[in-house]
Amino acid sequence: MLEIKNLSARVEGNDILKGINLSVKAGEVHAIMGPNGSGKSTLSKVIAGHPSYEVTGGTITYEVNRRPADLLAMEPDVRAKEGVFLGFQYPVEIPGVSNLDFLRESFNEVCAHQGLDRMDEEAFRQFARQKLALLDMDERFLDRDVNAGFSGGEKKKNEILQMAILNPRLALLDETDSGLDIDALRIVAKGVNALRSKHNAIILVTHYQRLLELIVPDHVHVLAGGRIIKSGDRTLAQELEKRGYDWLLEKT
Amino acid sequence: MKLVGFHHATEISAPTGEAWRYTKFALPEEMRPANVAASAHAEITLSGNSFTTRSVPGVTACNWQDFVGPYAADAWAQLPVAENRLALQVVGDVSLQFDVLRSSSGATVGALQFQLAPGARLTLWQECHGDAEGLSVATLQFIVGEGAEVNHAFRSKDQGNSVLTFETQLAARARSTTVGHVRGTGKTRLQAGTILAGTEAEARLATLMQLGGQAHGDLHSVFRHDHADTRAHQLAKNLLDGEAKAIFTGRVHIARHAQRVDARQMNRNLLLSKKAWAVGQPQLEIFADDVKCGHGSSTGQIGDDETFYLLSRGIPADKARALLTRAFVAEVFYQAPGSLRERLEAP
Repeated sequence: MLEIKNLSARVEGNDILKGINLSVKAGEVHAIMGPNGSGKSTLSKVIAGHPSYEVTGGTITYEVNRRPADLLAMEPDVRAKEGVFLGFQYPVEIPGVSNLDFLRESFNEVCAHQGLDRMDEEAFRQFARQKLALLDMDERFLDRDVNAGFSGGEKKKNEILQMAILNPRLALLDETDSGLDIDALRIVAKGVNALRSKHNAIILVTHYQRLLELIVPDHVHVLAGGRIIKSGDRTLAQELEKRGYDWLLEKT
Repeated sequence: MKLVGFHHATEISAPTGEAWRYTKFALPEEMRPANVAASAHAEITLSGNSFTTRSVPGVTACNWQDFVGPYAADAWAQLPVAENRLALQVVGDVSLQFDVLRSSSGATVGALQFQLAPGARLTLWQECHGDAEGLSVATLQFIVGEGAEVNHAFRSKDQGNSVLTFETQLAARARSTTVGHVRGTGKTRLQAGTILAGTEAEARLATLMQLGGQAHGDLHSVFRHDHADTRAHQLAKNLLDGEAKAIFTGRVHIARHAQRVDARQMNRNLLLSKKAWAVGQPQLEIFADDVKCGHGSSTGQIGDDETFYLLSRGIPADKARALLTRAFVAEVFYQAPGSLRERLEAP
């Protein structure tokens, strides 16, 4: 579904990614771990199309309608409409715009792109309620303004709610687990596990093993210095938890 | 009640000095003594032309009370004299509307003073309209008794020039909130002076100047903390397009004996075009040593991170920009309590 070949990228003149190779198939969950500053967040932002990040080499191929397409040639909003979702590490506050209106706007843009009918407010509220129930989230979330005055945990839960509503084919979660208490972490895990199917793929960017106890990955990659220096299965994450990154960094 | 009156222009000279460095008003032709009669249709009305003081329970006319506020020496603020000013006493819980209406090429000069009895509560909505010619000069004063509360919101859509002055004096535990939205293509000078004179007095001021074209907006504010344990919170936002200019000068004065004061000031400018221009100058005069005083200023365009957040949800660039602009504006209106906020948000 996603094929990244020799990808390099820079931001503000600094080369961050230096030749990433990653292959993700439908149905898989990948975890990307690594020390601070290794390029984990940059990778997810480049996939989603952040304008501040300049791709200096390599390709990203993403399957659209069962055919490989050049993801880097698509505008970020088109990527979203084609099923790419980025859960932000620092979601933006939009006071004056209710969560319900924002989610409906987003959902309807995606529907329109895929040739589906737009949903009216009442129908959408019903639809959103089901998703909230699934995540054990309070319905009042819908009437609050987008992330305005939300705690860190509430912002992350709101990202998961958006993901549940948009039902992406490729979900990138950028440190969605950081700063969460155990209850919020469970909600995040619940949302991700509910999304998991043979049609979707999930890439988790995380520092911690604890999220991976709740969402068991098929593949674990260690990113350091802009390259993937080690890949393995879930046991790699457990080993990193025990031994840290230094033993890997010394080897390279 | 209808107030119509004109000051003789020959007595007016535009104020000079640092406080008026960026904004100069020429006297309109119509205010020359020879033309006064011709522009006598200009008016200040209260709740429309039919308002009388008797028709609003809790409101009675009273004697004008002079108080020495931060703009006591400002020539424009003091322009309205006896025949075009009105003092009203407020008891209980009162809701009022005050319109400054200026017809074509006219000039309006008026002042209104509210004296709130202890524990009284006033909710005041103010609209200022005018077309391209002329000048409005409106001064509004609140003398707020112990434990009394003023909630005031205004919207100015004057296409000409205007000088709006607000002066507030707060006794112990009195509270005031003023939230304003200035639009228009002319030149606007806002002056807001607040004296926190009693313990636990609390003042909030939030303004949005939304300017385009050649518009010019100048906000000058003073918070004078004369008493310990007083609080003030100011949000000064400007949304600027075209070649609009916005000036913010915010003075905070904390007297030597006024300990444990909490004073916050934030100025944010969002520039939608390359030729828009903003300047912010905080002026902090702090003589007490145990105070919390924070101020900040930012000027910029809609950020890439913010836009990207919306793009990544499938919302196209133009809609993303509109939503983020709405968010910038909304923060100001949120400072107003319920009913006033709805009026500010209405198109």
